[in-house]
Amino acid sequence: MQGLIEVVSGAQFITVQDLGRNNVSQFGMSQGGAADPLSFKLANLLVGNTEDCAALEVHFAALTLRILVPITVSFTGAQCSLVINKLTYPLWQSYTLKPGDIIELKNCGHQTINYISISGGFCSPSIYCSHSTIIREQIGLKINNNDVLFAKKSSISRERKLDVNAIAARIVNRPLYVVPSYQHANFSQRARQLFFSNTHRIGLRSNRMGVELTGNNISPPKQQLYSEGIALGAIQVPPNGNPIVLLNDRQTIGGYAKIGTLVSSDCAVLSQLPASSEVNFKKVSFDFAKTHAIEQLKWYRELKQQICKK
Amino acid sequence: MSAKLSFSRASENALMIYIDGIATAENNLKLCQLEVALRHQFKHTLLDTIVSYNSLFIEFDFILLDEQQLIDFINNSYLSTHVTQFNNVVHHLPVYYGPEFGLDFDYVCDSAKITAAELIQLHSARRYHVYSIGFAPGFAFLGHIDDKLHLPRRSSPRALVEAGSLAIAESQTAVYPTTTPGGWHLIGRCPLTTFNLKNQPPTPFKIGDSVQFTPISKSEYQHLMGSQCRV
Repeated sequence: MQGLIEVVSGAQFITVQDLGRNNVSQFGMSQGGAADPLSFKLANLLVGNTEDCAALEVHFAALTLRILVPITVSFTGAQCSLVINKLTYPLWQSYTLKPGDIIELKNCGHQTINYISISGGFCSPSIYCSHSTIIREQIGLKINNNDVLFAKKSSISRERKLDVNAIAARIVNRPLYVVPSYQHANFSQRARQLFFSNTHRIGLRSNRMGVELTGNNISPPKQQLYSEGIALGAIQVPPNGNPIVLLNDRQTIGGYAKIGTLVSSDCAVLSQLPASSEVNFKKVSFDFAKTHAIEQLKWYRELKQQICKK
Repeated sequence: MSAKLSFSRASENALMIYIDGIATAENNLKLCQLEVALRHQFKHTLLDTIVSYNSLFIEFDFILLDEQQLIDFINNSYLSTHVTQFNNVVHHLPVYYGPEFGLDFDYVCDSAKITAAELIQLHSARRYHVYSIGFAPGFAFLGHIDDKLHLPRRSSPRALVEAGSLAIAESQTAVYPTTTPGGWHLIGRCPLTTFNLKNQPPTPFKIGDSVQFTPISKSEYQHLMGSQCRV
C-alpha cells in the first residue's frame, strides 16, 4: 500500500463508491453504489482501470487535494472548476501528476456529483465484495481532512480524454421517465394526474438515500401495506404528500405506497440535481423503459470505445 | 388449496410476487422456499431477492434474464412448493425487561391496563416468526405479539434508540441491532449483539427463523454485557 493523495480540505463531501453491493438485503443492508454510474465508470476507464474500481464520489465539490506520488488521476461528473497548480483544466480527462501538485475542485452549482479515479484504484475495505460506503450504516471508509488515501500500488497510466460534446447528452432537458409499477393503479386519478402533470421542486432533505419532491400534495391510497422490497428509483408517497424517489442508499424494505419507479438511467440524472431544482415526470411503458435502457447502454459502449481506442 | 400468487413489476429490472395478500407465517415460508428455488435456478443472474411478509422482490438484469422465463419458472416451481417442514432454527434472546431501559414500559402497561409482570409474561410467552429483515441492518420484524399489546407507533420518533433495545409497535416486536432513530415503544434491553459486520453472517436472523425472549435480571444483564456474547 502506498499513500497517494492527501485530502487537505472538503472531506465531508467525499465517499468511496463502486457499483454497489449485491445480495446483502437478506441482512437488511443497503445496496449503495455510485449515484451516477455512467460518470463513475468513465472516470475509471479514463485512467485505464476496469469500470468498477473503487473511486471517490464527491458531492458539492469544494475540496483541495495534494498529490504525494506520481499518479494518473481522472475527473468526471458535474460541471466544476478544476484547478491544478493554479491553472484551469477541463473535466472528462486524466492527468499524470507529480508529488506536491495541488488539485482544487469547486462545484459550479448546476449538478452536484463528481468522480475522481486514480490508475490502479483506491484502496478501501471490501465488505461483501464492494467498496461502497454507506454513512448511515457505518459501512465503508469514512474520509476526514488530512487523511491520506491509499492505492494497492502507485502507477501511472497513459492520459486519456473524452470529447466534451460527446458526453453533453447526459444532461437531459426533458421530463424524467417513470414506469407505472407497484401500487400505481391504487392511486386516485387526481393523485396520478398531479404527479405526472405538475412540476416538482427538489426538497432540502434530499441525499444519497432519496430525493424528496415538494410542492404538490399527492394523496397516497388509504390501503395499509406490509413492508416490501424497494427497487432503485421507486417513488414512495408518505402521508405528508411529498413523494420520495428512493436511490442507492435506500432502505431495503418500506411500507409506503409507491406511485411508480424512475427508470434506472434517470436515477443518475435526478441524483445530479441540486435542492430547489424543478423536475417533471412522464409516464412511460415498461417496453419503452427497456428500449431506453438499451440505447443508454449502446451510448456508454460508444464512449468506452472512444476512450479505449485513442 | 394453495394460496394464489400475483405478479407486479417493480422496475424494468425488478419483479414483485405477492401471495394472496395475507401475511401468515406459512405464506412467508412458502416465499422463502420459492426464493431458494429461484437462487438455485438463476444463480448470479439475480442481483437481489427480498422476502418480506407476503411478498418476494426479485431484482435482475433484463438484458441477461427474460422476465417471462422468471414468471414461468415461478409458476411451475410454486405448484410444487409444499411447506411440509418449517424452519426450526430458534434464537433465544435474553431480555432485561422494565422501565430502566424500556423507556415506554410503564406507558405500555398503562395503555394495556396490565401489570409489569403481565407485560413481561405476555411478551415472553410467545415464540415469534421472523417475517422480514430491513429498516436497518439486522433489524428483524417479529410477529405477532398478543393483541393486548398492540399500540400504534409513537407519534414522534426518538432521534436515538440504543442498540439492543427491545421494542413493540402494532402487531410487531423487534430488537434494535444498532443505535438508530426509532418510533417503536421500548420495553427492555437485550445484552447480545445482533448485528456485527465482523461476524459471518453479520446477523443471526434469517427470514423464517423463530425468536423466543427470556426474561433476565439486571445482574444477569450486566454479566452478559461484559462478556460480549453474541446470539
